[in-house]
Amino acid sequence: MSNEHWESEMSRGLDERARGLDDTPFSLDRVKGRARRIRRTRRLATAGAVLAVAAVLVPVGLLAGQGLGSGDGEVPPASRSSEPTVVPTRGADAGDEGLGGDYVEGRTWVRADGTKVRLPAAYDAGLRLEDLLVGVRNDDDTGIDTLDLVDADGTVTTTLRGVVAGPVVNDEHTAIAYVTTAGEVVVHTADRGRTVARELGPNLLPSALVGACDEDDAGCRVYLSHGDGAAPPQVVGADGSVRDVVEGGSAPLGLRDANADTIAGLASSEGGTGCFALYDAGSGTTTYETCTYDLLDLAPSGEQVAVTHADGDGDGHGWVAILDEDQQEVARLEPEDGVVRDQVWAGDGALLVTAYERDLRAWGIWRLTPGAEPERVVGGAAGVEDAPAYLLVR
Amino acid sequence: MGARLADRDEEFTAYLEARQAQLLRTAYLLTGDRHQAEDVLQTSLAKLYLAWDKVRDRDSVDAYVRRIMVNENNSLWRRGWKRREHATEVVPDRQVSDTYDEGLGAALWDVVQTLPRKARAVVVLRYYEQLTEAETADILGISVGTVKSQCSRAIATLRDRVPSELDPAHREEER
Repeated sequence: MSNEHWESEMSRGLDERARGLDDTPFSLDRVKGRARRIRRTRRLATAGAVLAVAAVLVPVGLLAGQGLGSGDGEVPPASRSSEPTVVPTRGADAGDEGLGGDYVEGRTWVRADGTKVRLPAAYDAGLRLEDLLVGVRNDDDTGIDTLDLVDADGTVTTTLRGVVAGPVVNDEHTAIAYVTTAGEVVVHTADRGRTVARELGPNLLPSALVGACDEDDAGCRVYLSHGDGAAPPQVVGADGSVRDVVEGGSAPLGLRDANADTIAGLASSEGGTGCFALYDAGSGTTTYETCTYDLLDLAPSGEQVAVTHADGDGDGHGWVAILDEDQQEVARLEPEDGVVRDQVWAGDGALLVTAYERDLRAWGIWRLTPGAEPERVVGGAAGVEDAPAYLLVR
Repeated sequence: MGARLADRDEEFTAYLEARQAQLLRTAYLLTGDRHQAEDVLQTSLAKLYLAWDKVRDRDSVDAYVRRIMVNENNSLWRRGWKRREHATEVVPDRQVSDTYDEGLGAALWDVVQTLPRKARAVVVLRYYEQLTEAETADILGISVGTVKSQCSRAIATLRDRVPSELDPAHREEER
C-alpha cells in the first residue's frame, strides 16, 4: 500500500480525534487579561536583555515574510560543560533584608540594604538609577510605557513618557537607555537625558548600556538589536556613531547582554531552539559557542554568565545556572516542580532569581552563589504561576 | 478607550469568533491534553493580541498563531507542564464509538502521542491542517527535507504498529 493511503488515514484519524471540540473558551477579556501578564513578563525579560528565541525571532520572521532557519546550520558547541549537578530548591529562608540587590513586592520597593519604600504606583519592571528606582508602567494596551523616577521617599522626581523599548541600565547604575515612540535612542542619567541616535529601525530593542555614560564619557555605548530578524545588532557610541556589533558573516542575530569586554548573543536559531555565543567586545571574535545554554546575563565582574536551557519563549525557564570563566556550571537552581522567571546579578556577585514552586503555590527569591547550594532568601508570597509576586530590580 | 484600540478589539473579536474552535482543535492535537491545549491556546491568543497591529497581512494570521502555539507547547513542556497533576479535574478525551476509532484510529493516536514534540507538530500541521511541506517547514523553522523525513518516519511507525487486520489495504480487500 502506498504512503498516500497511509497519509490519508493519518489525516482522517487526526480529524476524527479532534472533531467535536467546538468550544470557544476564551473571550476577548480573558485574552487581554493573559496579554497583560505576558506584557509584564516580557518587560522583565527585555529589561534584562533576555531576547527569547521564539518570542522575538519567530514572529518577526513571519511578519517579515521570511522563513526561519534560513540556511543557518546548527552551530556546534565549542565547549560543553560536564554533566550539571541539579541542586534542590529547598533551603532555609534567610529573611528579607540585605539581599545585595533591590526588588519590588506589590507597591513596596525593598532596597538592597533592606529599607522599604512605599511606591506611588504598581510597576511592571524596575531598574536602579543612582539612588532612584526607575519604575516601568503601562497603563493601557498600547505597548507604550511610562518611566517614573522614584526617590527614597517614594516621590516621583521625573516622569518619562513614550517609551517603546527598554530601558536598560549600565552596570554602574548611573544611566539608562531606551527607545521612544519617535524612534530616538535616549541615554538618561538621574538628572537629564540626551538623544544619541535616531531612526535606526522600526523595532529597535536596547540590550545593554556600557560605560559610565555621563556627559563626559566618550566610551558610553548602547547595544541595540533589531526586531526585524534580519538586520544585525548595532552599537551606538557617545558621539552618535553607529556600527555593527560584530563585523562580517558571524554577526549574532540578536543580543542578550554586553559589558566592557564581552558581548553575549544569539548566534543562530532553528525550530525555536537557539545556539548562542560570547564575542570579544573589541575584536568581535567568537570566544565561546553553545547550543546547550541560552546566555542570559553577564556578571558585572565579567567572570561569569547566567544561563538557562537553549529553547524557550522567555516566559520562564526550567532552570537557571551560573557558568564560570571555563564555561563550567558552578551553581544551578532547578525547581523540582516549578519555573524560574527572572534573574539579576547582585552587587556582591551572587545571582538573585525569582522562581515559582507549584507545590507551594508560592513565589520566592533565591540566591545563587558559585560553589554553594541555592538559598531561598525571600519566600512564601502566594500567587499564580504567570503573575510573579516579586520584581527583581536591575 | 481610543478609537484605534476599539477597532483593534473589534477585529480581534471577529477573529476569535471565526477561528478559535479550529485553533483549539489544533492545540489539542499538538498537546494531546485538553487542559494543556487550552493553556497553549490562551497564551497564543494573548501573544497574537499583543502583536495584532504588527500582523499587517491578515491572511498570515493563522500561520502566525500556529507558530506561536507550537513554540508555546514546546516551552510548556520544557517548563515541566507535564509534571502537573490533574487528578481531580480529569476531562476525558472524546468517547470512542465506532470501529474506526477503536482500531486504526486508536493505533494512530497512540503513534502520534509517542512522537517527539517537534515531529508531532510536523504531523499535525501536515496531515491535520493540510499545509504543504513548504508551509509546514516555514512555520516550524525547519527545512522541507526535515518535514519530509519526519512525515515518512511517522507513517512508517504507523504501518509497523497497526495490526494487519486494521491495515487499510486489508480492509479494502475485504470490502
